[in-house]
Amino acid sequence: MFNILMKILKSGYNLFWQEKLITVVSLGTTIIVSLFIWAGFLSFYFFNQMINYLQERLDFSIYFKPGILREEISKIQKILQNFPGVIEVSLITQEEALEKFKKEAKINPVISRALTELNMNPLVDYLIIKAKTPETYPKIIDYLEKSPYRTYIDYISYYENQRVIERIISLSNKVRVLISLFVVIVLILAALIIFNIVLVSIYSQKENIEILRLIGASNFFIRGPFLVYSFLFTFLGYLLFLVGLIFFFEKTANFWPSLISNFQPISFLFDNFFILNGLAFFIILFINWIGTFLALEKYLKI
Amino acid sequence: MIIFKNVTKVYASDVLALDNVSFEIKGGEFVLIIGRSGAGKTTVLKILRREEDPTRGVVYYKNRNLLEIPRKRLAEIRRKISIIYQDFKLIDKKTVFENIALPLEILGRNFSEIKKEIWKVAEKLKIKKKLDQLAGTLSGGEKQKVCLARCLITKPEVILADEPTGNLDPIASFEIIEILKNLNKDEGITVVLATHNREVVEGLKTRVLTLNSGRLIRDENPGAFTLL
Repeated sequence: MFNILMKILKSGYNLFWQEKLITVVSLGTTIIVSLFIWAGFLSFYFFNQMINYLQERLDFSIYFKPGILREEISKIQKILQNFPGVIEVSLITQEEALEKFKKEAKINPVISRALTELNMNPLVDYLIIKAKTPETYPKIIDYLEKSPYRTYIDYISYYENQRVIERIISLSNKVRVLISLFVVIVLILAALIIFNIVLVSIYSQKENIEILRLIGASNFFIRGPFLVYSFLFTFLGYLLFLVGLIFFFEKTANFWPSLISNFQPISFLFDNFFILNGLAFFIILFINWIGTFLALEKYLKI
Repeated sequence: MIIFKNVTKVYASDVLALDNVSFEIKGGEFVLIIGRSGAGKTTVLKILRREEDPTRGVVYYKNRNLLEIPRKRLAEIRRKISIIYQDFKLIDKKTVFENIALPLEILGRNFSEIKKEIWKVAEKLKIKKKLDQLAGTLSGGEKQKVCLARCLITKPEVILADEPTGNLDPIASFEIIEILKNLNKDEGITVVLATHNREVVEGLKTRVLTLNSGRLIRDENPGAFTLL
């Protein structure tokens, strides 16, 4: 078995150097397909960042009726903090609300004067609720509307933001579908391109395969060198692509943050080096091997 | 050793290649299959190595129904029933040594063992000096010898020869037929030779199966049942 494995490895390596033109085309194909897959990765990342950015800015507030005890408000705060999907519930007291309002109103002399003349705090205690996903907000509202604490609440800002929240839910869902569709299309294109080149490379070896078959070679012995060959050009092609990608990211490092805030392509690449590159490499290798299996099947029927 | 029983082969395009052909070949026999182009000679050889399956009928090799052997195990049979072709089927970009070594590499033999076996076979077929040459650079006669060497390296029980002299000049043809005769005589290898070369047929006083349009029309044995 060891001798057979060594022979298969050697034959695969020989194929790589014997069929120079096909090897060059295969390397080129691997680079193009890697580009496709990385376009998919980046689109996925960018869209996700965009959705996260929008979601992070979503929250709503619950304004309490004047005179509601702080302890009661704290109880509601605790309940909401334990609500599934809620990230943060902050209590803004009447005093803090006034401070905040004064700061914001400083630039408006009319409001500042009105507050001084009023000589009392017209604001109320309120809670700001932030959830992981926009889908959580309607659930919180539903809970609050049915809870006994509803009578303490004067006003919920959710109804004001409801349309925005619903739009963001709908947009993020649509974008998710679009990205998935884009990734699927990219993978199909990649598979078609790779499959074509695998077909050509196997066709060029058609006679040799037939000869091996006729002298009694097993399927494993015939497939083996092609699998090794695919591995070699996928590995080398991806390596060349990676070098090009690093170079490209280095040269365009200043451009990206203007496209997506805080996006540092080199950090993105190296922080996720093994996951992203491993995934891309194995996707290409997997398609190559499936293509090799399918293309060889025809010649193994002899 | 080989029994062909009521074998019919119809190709996908409704071409009748063999029509109810039956014959038996004993171990150590030298049998000629003759007939015009398209008579079904190559189909008989292909069926004997399961390169084609018959539409009807059965084929036995050493009392085993060839058609019941799973495809995965065909490689074993193909090493026992070896074949040489008119177009040689050598890998031109490999050296003679590498071509002959292939069947043993498939079996996982180590290099020193392969080298030893190749030297023996090359010595027998007088191609030792050609071992490092690329197969594509050889003459027709030399290529056919390499083809034979590749067959012999696995110590086959049967050699099928499909028009082995078809691409050779008369001298090279004579040489190849002589080698086949000697292999049959000295080593007891069963030889089944398909040809339409009249000179080959007349030079070999041995059993002749005549095919015409897929039918076995004659099975003559001029006394000398085998060349042994």
